Amino acid sequence: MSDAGRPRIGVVTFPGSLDDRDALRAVRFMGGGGVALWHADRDLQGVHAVILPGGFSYGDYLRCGAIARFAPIMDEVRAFAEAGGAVVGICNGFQILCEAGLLPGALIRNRQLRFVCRWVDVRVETSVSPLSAELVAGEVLRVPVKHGEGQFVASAADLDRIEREGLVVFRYCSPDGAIGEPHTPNGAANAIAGLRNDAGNVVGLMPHPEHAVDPDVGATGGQPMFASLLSSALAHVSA
Amino acid sequence: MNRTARRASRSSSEPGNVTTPIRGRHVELTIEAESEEAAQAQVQEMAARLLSNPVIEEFQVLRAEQVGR
Repeated sequence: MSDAGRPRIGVVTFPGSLDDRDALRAVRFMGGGGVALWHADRDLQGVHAVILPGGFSYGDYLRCGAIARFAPIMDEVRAFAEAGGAVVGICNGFQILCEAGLLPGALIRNRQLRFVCRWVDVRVETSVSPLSAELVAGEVLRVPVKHGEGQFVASAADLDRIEREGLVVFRYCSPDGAIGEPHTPNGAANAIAGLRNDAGNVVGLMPHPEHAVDPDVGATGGQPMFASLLSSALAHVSA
Repeated sequence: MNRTARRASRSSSEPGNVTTPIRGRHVELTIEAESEEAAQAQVQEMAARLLSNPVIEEFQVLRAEQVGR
């Protein structure tokens, strides 16, 4: 099938990325055109949205995402984001966006000091983001997490601003949407699983929607997130 | 150090009068530069932009002789 008329979603591969192929597959599964992008290039190939995927970019030396933020393609991603393009960071991609200053806060080692790999539920907090444009606040989605450093932290002032300005996009929750420490897999401040920038076009999250689109392998909480991304990207196409 | 680790260490071997342990990283750099000021400026820049994240870390730049090397 041709990509003509379909939103083209770029997925950046850094040395050490793990989930780039799943992200591309999820884009295609949901009807978009997947475009593989390379960290050392300075060309986004005219894509309508960009995904920074999960993994361990550059081995996560120094800190998670600390080196990837200086990759040549990140200059293009930053310019794309500043022009209003949809940018999504998943897990390591979220860490990269925070390191790059495109999102506030940082991700540190899980509070329990152990890698966590399991299904979680997240509650949608706002429809203002490329991953929640077609969702309604209060909806609960089941998606997996797999990370050692996913505890979101921010200064008290930043955390206050994040909450006051409604920048939280997803919170960890119980299956019926209740927020609390038992439902938060990593000790994240205010149970924050994902957040957006002020403009609402950049979003990062620790859970992995790209692993939750195909019913053959489990829950499909990633489907509405990718559907939102494709519709956000289409808006960029027609803009 | 996070709270879980702090609790675990207190319950085992840590004396009760230790309350705020801080874990850090030590990075050694050898720089060739035209002057000490230029070297200091370069290290400050590297520490601020790459080696540390201001959201979660603070840093201090010391010369080798200041740390007994």
